[in-house]
Amino acid sequence: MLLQIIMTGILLGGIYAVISIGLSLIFGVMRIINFAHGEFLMISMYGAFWAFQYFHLHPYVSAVVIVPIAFIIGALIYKALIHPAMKRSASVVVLATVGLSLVLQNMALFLWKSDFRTVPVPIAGMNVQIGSIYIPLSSLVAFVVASLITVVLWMFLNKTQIGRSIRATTQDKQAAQLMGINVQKTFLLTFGLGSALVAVGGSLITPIFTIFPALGVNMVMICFVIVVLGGLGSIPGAWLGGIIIGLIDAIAGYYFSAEIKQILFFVIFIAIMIVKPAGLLGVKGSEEVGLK
Amino acid sequence: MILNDFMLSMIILIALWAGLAGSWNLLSGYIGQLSLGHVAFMGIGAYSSGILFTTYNVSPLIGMAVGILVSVLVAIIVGFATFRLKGPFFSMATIGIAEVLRNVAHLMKDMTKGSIGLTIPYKPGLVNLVFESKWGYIGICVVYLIIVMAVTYFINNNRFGYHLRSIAEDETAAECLGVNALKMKLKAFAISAALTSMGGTIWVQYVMFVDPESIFSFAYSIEMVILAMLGGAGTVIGPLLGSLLITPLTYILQEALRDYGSGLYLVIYGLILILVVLYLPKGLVGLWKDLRFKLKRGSLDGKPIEKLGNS
Repeated sequence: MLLQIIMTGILLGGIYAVISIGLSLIFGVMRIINFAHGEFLMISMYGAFWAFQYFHLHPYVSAVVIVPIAFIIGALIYKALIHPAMKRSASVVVLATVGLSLVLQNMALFLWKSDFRTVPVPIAGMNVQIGSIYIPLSSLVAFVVASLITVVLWMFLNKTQIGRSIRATTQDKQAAQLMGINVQKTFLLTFGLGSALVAVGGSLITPIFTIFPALGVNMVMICFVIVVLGGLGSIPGAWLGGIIIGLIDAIAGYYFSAEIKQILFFVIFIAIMIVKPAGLLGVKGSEEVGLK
Repeated sequence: MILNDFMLSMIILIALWAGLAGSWNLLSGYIGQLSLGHVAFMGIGAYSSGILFTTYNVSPLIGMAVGILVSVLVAIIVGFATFRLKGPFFSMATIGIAEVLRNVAHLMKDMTKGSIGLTIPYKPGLVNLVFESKWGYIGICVVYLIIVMAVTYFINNNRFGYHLRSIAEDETAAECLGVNALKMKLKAFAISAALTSMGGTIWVQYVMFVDPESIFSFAYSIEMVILAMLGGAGTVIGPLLGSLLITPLTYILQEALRDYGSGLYLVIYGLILILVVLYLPKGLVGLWKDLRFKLKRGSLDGKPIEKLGNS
């Protein structure tokens, strides 16, 4: 039984990781937190839902369209909102993205009502059985993709020229600019990429979770805990943080009520702030750098 | 002018929300540490007095004091954990603390009655902070607003206020000049939490009902932010100005958009918030100052002095 819980926890962790990586990437490069991150996830899930409803597209298939759209929307939001806000101050970015989250969430509530929606694709009910342990196939896919994204993104940031310019921008905006890196373009790319990653997460979890306008609020709190635990800005950290929180979620969910689980998450969040503010895999001092 | 019932309740709400936004302003407006979960303290105030009054028949005035104590304690713990870090950590933590308290309120069913909510018994009297006429509530809310504004005014023109603004300007520089930034921030957070908690107690005595979902709602936290930002964050009069505009607007919007869904007014809230922070970062007070400056000097060259803290 315990083995089953641990397995469930690890797979859930993969799901959490895949929806947190985008947030961590954006913070890592741009030093901003997108408080509308949860709403981006919610909207991409609605996208998958409507694609299924009208065109009978499996969420894994519709992702081929939705993910690039998410990239473009992310880039547009960067141009229209994030860039002007970043020119002012860090506080303005926080409040502007909070405003965006209010707009998106309540527009969704207005357009699509608060009904709970599901995408009943066959994969949702399929299991792989190893010994006495059942592994839900959709969770397994999410876990594998999350791990792949972690590796690919890490390679992209560390081995390619664009990745290098992104990391250079992270380390020193001005110096990077002097070296001929187009900082604005890098930020635009990063925000678009972060948004696209959220949409990947949305497509993967659409068969697993119910869809409703306020789901982003629940999810974003978990994402915050994960990225802070793993180390804000660290991609492998988001993966590791996701797995740990997934495990805690599954174990605490088995033994305690949902309320206690929520409280536990917050206690972890506060504890990391006090004990190890850079997170498990974050670079020391990363929580302070470049916020001016 | 005939003061009908509607206008009286509008005055109550304007004063109460101006007080709550003013409490938020003391922390977030002056230092720029953005709290996005100030309902946490409103809820502590509401539940402290609500539980003591309904179950033990203790005067809400004592409940208010208990609420203030608990709020200060929570503020110091959360502040201590997050203020040492720069960036959006504090904002993330404040959303979290409101969520946690909502869950705690659900968990402590025997005291809070969970999602059924607490109903305040109707026992009019000053000691009970329950009044037959709306004028009683107007009195209490205006007194509350005056307290908040007096505290803000005092801090604004005091050494402590200069310290707070120096931290908002440049924390490192302030520390080099001998300002103990952590201590100052904690002090401001404690005062802000205490005043918000007071408002929470008054709120529950006026509405006569409290349940976890309504009192800990994100919309209330944001309402405080918007009122203060629109009026002018980091000013004494700003939150009142904001409340004079937004509180009636909220009511009108909620009424007008009722048929289209309960959340639609929040879309407009979000848009107002975005527009204010992008185009009116100093709020109406700042706009007025700029205009006056322009009229005096004939031009508006100087750099914008807006700087709502960047730590």
